[in-house]
Amino acid sequence: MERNELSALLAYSLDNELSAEQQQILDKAFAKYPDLLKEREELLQLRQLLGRQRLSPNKQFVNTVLEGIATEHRPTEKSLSGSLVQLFPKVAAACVIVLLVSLLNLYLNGDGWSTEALLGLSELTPDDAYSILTEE
Amino acid sequence: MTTILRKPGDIELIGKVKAGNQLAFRMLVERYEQQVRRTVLGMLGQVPEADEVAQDVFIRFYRSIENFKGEAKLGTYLTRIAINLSINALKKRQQKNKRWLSIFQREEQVIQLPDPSADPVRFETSELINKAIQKLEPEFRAVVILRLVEGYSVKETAEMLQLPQGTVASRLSRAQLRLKAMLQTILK
Repeated sequence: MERNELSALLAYSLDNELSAEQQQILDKAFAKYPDLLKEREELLQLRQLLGRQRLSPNKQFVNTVLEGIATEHRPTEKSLSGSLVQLFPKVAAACVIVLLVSLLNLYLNGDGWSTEALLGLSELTPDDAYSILTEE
Repeated sequence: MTTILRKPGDIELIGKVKAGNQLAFRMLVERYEQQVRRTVLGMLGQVPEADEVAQDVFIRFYRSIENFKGEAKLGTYLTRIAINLSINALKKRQQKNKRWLSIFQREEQVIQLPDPSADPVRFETSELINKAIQKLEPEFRAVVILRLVEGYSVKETAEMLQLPQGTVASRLSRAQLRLKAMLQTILK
């Protein structure tokens, strides 16, 4: 077995039961490679260090979790502005549709899309203009 | 006459939470906070989002508490959620920052440090270990966190990650050797 394979077997042996054959290989390897014992010590030391990892506390952790849950269950307050914001896209879409229908109507009535037709001036007479201007 | 206060078990507390008892849920969070935070921080590193993910573990547990039947231990169940959410967060992080090396192409390097006595606070062993763990790919990181940091057995680790035991053992073996190589300056 290659030296790096022995290292892998050594690491494996720390978490798993080796077969009789594997254990024999490892025992012979310890005799042949003295640094393998040192490697074993280092691995054990590493595992000890990993097991001792500690956290810095977060005093707000629990409260933040509970607030997160409370927020989910809080009923959403309905306000006029909120309703309007929700309705806005629908109202805007309706207005666009009305505008398009009006333009189409104008066009189909033969008036075309001239400025006068759009402003409704094409059917006005001078008498109409006088009446409009003198109305109180 | 002394009264011995019995600590309520997880199943008892879960029953109370299902009945609407918020205090019971607080007790559960306090009981498993360290375990969940350690798992998430191990997977994500000491980043601000780590505690958010850890908090999300409990929120998700609360949402689905009716589905918890108690087949698995609560600690195991929460740790499984923690690992899954951590892996999701790692994937999002990778997508966000495309300059980073692919999470599957991390290069190993010995963690360089000057003489630790020059700045002992900065080069605390724990920080070095965290940095080394972060250099592992997520699939290796997960087995190290669960087996070596949290202390689950190989079998329990395999169940939580839904992997064969042989795969867990193999990843553990490789991860340990890589960590040892990275941390050789602090191992005597």
